[in-house]
Amino acid sequence: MPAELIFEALIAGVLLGCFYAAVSVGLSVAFGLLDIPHIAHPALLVLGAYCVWWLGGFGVDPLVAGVLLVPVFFALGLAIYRFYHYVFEADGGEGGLRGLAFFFGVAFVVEVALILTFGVDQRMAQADYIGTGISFGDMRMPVRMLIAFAVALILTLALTQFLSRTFTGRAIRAVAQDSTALALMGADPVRIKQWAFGIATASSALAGALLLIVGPIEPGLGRLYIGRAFCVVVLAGLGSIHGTLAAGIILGVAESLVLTSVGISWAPAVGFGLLLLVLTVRPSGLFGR
Amino acid sequence: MSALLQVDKVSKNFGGFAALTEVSFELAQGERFGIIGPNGSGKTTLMNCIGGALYGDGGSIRFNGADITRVPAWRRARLGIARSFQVPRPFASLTVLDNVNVAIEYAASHPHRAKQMRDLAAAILKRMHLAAKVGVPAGSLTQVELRKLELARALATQPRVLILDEVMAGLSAAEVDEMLEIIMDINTQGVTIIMIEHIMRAIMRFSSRVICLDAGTIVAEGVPETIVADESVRRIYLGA
Amino acid sequence: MRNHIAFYTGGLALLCAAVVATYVIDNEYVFFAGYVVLQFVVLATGWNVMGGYAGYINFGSAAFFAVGAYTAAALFKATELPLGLQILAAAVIAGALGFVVGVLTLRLRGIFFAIATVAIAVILETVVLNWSYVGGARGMTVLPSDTPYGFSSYMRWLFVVMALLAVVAVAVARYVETSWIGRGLRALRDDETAAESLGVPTLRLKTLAATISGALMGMAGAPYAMYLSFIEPTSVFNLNYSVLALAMPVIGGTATWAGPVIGALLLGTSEQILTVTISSELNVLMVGLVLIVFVVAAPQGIVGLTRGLWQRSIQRRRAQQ
Repeated sequence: MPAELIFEALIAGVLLGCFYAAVSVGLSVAFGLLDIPHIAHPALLVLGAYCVWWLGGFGVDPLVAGVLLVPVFFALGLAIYRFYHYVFEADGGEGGLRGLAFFFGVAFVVEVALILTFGVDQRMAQADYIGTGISFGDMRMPVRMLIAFAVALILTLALTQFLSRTFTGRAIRAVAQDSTALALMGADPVRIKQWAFGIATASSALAGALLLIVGPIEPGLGRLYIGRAFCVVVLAGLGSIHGTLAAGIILGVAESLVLTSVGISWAPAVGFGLLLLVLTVRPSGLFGR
Repeated sequence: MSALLQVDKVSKNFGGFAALTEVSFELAQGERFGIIGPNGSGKTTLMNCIGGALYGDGGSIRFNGADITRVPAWRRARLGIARSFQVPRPFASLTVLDNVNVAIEYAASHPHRAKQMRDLAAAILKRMHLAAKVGVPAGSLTQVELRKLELARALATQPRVLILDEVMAGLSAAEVDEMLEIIMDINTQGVTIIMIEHIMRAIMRFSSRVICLDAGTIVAEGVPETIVADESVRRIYLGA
Repeated sequence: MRNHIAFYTGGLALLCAAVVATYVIDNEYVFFAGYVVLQFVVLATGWNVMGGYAGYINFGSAAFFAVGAYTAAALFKATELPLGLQILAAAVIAGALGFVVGVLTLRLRGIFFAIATVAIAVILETVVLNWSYVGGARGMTVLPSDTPYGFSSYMRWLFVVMALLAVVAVAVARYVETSWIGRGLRALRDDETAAESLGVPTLRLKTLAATISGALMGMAGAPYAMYLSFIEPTSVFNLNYSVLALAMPVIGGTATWAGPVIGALLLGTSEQILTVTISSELNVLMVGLVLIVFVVAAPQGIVGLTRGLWQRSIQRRRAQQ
């Protein structure tokens, strides 16, 4: 493979990787920090993308729509966690296998509901910058990838800062380590988990907008992102928010290289393959706590 | 007389923390062996290494002359090493009877006939005063009953060495006496006992030999009278 | 002993009834739909051996179904192997895949195991999509061989074959459940460390259960290509199979062999009715919602619910006396 092709694949991989990090950061909070088997996270992401597309029908720019949806998704997250806690955690136990089956059911229902509402056809974003590109020497970068890259970077870094600098953020990290100690300090662990889950879900609204900007969407897309998102979260090490960006870039580059060298039909297996590899070889991830 | 269990320079590290450092001792058939030591001194880690739940990082363990250092836990159970867990770990969704049946069925060195199995399970449960609970799911037992079930299951494997990790914690004085009596009875039938206990009265009354662990090493060894009088043990326990 | 006789007599009677039905019933659609319902009995029963008894949730059942279907189809294309041998080969290959999944349980539990099964499904689908011998993404047409003597159509023959597979699958699951294997699996589902310390070889048992589970689910998919005369990746690797394989036992009840059978008969039949009368999307939406309702409100499934009612009525009768 010629060197410039590899170089281009690397650049594209880094851009893609930041996008994957943005898609996964919510899961990193919900699953990595809170230990909730949130297998429905990718489905909510696709739901977010469809809401953004729907708002696009009224002439709203995808990014603006994503921001508008943040409070809605935050509330949705609160509601989901309340329900989950009431059913599975309230008696002192953990969700365990039932929680897993529950979220699997939620993911499936979201996907089918999307099919019923929007049909199985692919949908694309409506915006001026879709389809345009900027040239750097011989290389042409699609603007949509650059936008996704920039917003993803901001989203991931902002969440990282929020979790390490603010009081609520630190409380969320503390609840992951030791709920009892937190309760002794006078903070309500359930309330904090509820907040964290709300934030995780809210990030799906923005990430969903990016998903729509990066490429066409379809209801079944969530399944592919189960592999990608869990790959990033596990590779980063559970609960390691700052590792998310690095892990996302590793996945993005790997996918991009496979795409250029072997072909697009093998790309979907990259995330899942890497995930299996990490799970069996080093389950604590690269930056594990 | 050759030893039944030989623990030779067993070490175990967790990350950088040395939980056990070159611990050695030998047990003869039929002994009543007590292990004392403060929390975090490595008692349970040592039992995990003997039972096979953990493999040591160094040293070796021989049982009945054979090297079992890298033998998995389920094989050790079949060879005759049984243990109870410090925090009871019942099979919550199985009935009390099935909890015992699993142990009989899997740990037996020879296959049991259905009738033999029923009789054995009934005898063990009666001895542990759990006969009235046979059909109840183990998850609904009280703490005291769970400790008894823990012991009943271990007995059902028909062990040669029985490791008891704080089976008397949380029992009333009368219950401790009752439990001690049962364990003495098991011992007189030829089962070697290793007992970890915080209740000093019980362990000193029970044991024929005691070791004291501190920070992963054996600091004292001997008959109960010498252990009680030992300088380092007094320092650890009385802070004197 | 009397239980065993009753069970096997019942199984044999059902098989005879299936054969008789092929002579008595005129409507070909009955067999077309009945085949699907029976196929789900096999799939759900297979899933439950690992998911219900051992407590390891498989989200990638479609992969086993598809591996069974493609093994049979590829072998048929290569050698025109008779159906019985195709099914056997499908069970062996899907069982081997189950063995691999079983070995994964050494390190992966709970959600990690579940995600690993999703990963295996997607990777295998990608492999088949790129496998030109079986037609890649376009799929391939399979023309069934001659209808065996005594059957008026190939569909009727397949219906009887699937009825046989269903009886075999349930018999295998029932054996696992009531024997020492089932007791060991339930013990390790509750607590693996404790089970191991009592002599239960947990890894061996889990691998055994995963192999049996995989083989049964592969068997469910084996006659697929013959059934539709066509096979392509997206329909056999369909998420619906993975969801249904889990939903049917959960709704019926995962503790006993009867649970998956009840769940499969119920969901399978309602699928056949809803798909024809309303739409197939609405049917799968209903499956998802019912699954959630049961996970939340009745984790013991229909079997657990009826057992609870039964015990309560006994208690009430005792109280009255």
